[in-house]
Amino acid sequence: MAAGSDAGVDAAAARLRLLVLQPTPFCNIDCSYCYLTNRGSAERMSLATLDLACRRVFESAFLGRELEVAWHGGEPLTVPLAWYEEATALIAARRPASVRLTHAFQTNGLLVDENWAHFFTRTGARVGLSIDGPADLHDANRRTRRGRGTHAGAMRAVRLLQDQGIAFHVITVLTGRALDEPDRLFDFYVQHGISEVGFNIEEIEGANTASSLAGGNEAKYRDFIRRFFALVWQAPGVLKVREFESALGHLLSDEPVTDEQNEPFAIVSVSHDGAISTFSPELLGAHHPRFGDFAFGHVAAHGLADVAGGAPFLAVSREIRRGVEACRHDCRYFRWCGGGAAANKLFETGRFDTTETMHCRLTRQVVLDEVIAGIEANMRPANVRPAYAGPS
Amino acid sequence: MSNHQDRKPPVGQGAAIASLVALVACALAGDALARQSPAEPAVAEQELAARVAAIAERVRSAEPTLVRELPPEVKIAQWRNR
Repeated sequence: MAAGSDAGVDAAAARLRLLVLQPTPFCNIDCSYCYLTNRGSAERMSLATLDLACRRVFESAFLGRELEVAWHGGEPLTVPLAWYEEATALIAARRPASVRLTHAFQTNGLLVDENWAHFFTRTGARVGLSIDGPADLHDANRRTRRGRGTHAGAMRAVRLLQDQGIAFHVITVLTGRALDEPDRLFDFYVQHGISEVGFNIEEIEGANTASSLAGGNEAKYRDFIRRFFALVWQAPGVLKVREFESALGHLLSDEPVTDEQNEPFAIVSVSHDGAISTFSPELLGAHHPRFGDFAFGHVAAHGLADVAGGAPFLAVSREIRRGVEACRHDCRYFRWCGGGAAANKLFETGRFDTTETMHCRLTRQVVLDEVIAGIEANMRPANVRPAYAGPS
Repeated sequence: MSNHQDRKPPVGQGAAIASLVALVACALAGDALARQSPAEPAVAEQELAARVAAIAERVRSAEPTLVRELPPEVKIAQWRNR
């Protein structure tokens, strides 16, 4: 089945690169901007379900030669370490020899201890900590169910990982309040030895139906990105920012960008109870009047090829494809964006076959604008020669 | 607001990290001497593709290997939670 008008999947072209596994929907904290509706549920993925998920993925023709397994919740570390010892052994046993596999954990850090650190070292797992900057910014939104801030616990994880020599990155959710403080955020990362940062925005997504970045704060967001790029540019090699690395990579690449959230089976998500989804991982667990819960199959009954032929998948895939084509037609940023994130189109507009969203304006258009302008501001005009061009 | 001198990693955590932005900033470091004023409005209003092409061309001329050997991870868009 060729990709295109029917929005099915071309197995020869499909490349599964990211497997998102949800060991539990439970989270031990209660962030104000969280999109998960069921983060109070303590259900867990069984090893039998994980085994089925491995079989479905590793037998699939969609599988590429490299696969990242992202353990993403809920808070993944609320599931005991002993479970992950068995889980990673099981995955290693099922993995085809030709596939290079890496594990990745995104955690709030509160449960990180020396045992977890040893596990990360042993498995070579990539670790991401969720920290929103200095304590006042972080604790404004990232709190326990009793309302206590979690910054001290997250920073304890930073120190522990650094003491153990474990590389990690930080993901910071930008809210309206953070936009006034680019210098303070930059200094926070540098002073705490944090060298890799990704900025997520407070999204209108799932259970979070409003964002402090909407409306008038979009201009402040642009100012923040402009200032932060200048800070990073002026101190080369001190801080790596995912958004700037990605945007500059796109600008310098000869190849048009594609967004893996719009590519069927580039990302496969499996929930704790074995439901299979694809496209944006946030879709799994969401509910929509036309599309239901985005569970396109179940590991107990369906291989990925079965999912690709099913009516629920095809309905979503066709609408996403129409949305990408509309972006291609309408948007001057398409060459460096690839059509936006499917989940954000749906959560902001109710449909996949739309174009511009707040998410794409902030995370694609503004970032590209400001990286381009920031480089231009530091680039010699085309008609000016270097101060010294060497002996002629 | 702290000054630029403050923006260094604490002692013991210091090696410069591999970053595409840092590589390009260093490659274009000499351009700062040639630029006497902020970007001209005419430049800012150019077609986006032309502006991007001008940047790629300037980076290519300053550091040819950079454009040829882009790290693979920046060639594809990434899910934001990793």
